[in-house]
Amino acid sequence: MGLFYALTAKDFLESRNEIFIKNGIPALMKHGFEKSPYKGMRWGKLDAGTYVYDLCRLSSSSQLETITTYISKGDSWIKIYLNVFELKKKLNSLDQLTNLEGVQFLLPPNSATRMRLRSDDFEGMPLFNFVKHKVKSFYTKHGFSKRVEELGELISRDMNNIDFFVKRWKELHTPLVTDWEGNNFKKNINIFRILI
Amino acid sequence: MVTKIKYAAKGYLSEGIAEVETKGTTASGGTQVAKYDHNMKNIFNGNRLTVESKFNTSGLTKNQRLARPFVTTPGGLLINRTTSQQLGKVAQSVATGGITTTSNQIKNN
Repeated sequence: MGLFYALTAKDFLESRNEIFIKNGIPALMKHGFEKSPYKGMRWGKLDAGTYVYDLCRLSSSSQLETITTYISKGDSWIKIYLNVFELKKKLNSLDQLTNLEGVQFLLPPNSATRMRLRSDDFEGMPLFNFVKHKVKSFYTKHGFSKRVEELGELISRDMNNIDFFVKRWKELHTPLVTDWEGNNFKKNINIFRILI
Repeated sequence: MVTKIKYAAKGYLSEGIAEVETKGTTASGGTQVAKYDHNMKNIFNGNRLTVESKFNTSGLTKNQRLARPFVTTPGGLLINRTTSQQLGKVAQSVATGGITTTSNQIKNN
């Protein structure tokens, strides 16, 4: 919040949501991402103080790449998380996932491999990470507009370079093998072994 | 604010609110999200913590309780509790410190 320019928490939330709608979503759509077809996935306002967007795409190697974005009242961030899954049974189109339960993709152990963009992907000491998906401090209305513009440009640039972040994700993690509903395949094998 | 100061001393900075999914759904059918006050990140080694600030004996909300098992950061959910007694002590020490400094200044003059 600004020192001399007062902006309500609600307006601040709406302005960050607008940034993502204008700059983030079109760029992701251009790169093959679409609204998640799973049941229970979010697109827009979840409650009075939260916007959530669930997107996903099928890569050329038949991996499911998911992007979940959270914009919350009470902070200055746009939090974008990327996760990649290896689907046990090959998928030809995202339409095949329509109305399947997808909540398991958002819960542990699957959520443990998610990577927050411009934070978890940073190489080196986080102290020197100055580029973040955050509206930096501002003191005037003009300053606020400038900060919003800066963040919009950064979001647009990053979403257009999403393949770079997917590559970075693969350097940090190995995709978990799941079925189409996000149930962990390796875990199932272990249970099977215990039963034997 | 007290939590931010306490964790900053340990090298952790808040990167906004921590959102954690629960198995529940909203009225519109979307997967429910619980919010905790801080998604802390260590500025030296990048470790993450999920911290919830609580005052006196206040507890977690229903949503926060449901999402607690799904917090994946080390140590799970950390609750940083500040009591009115602690705040009183801090206020007292600030006031006492102020008086001491003033009396020292008078002596020096």
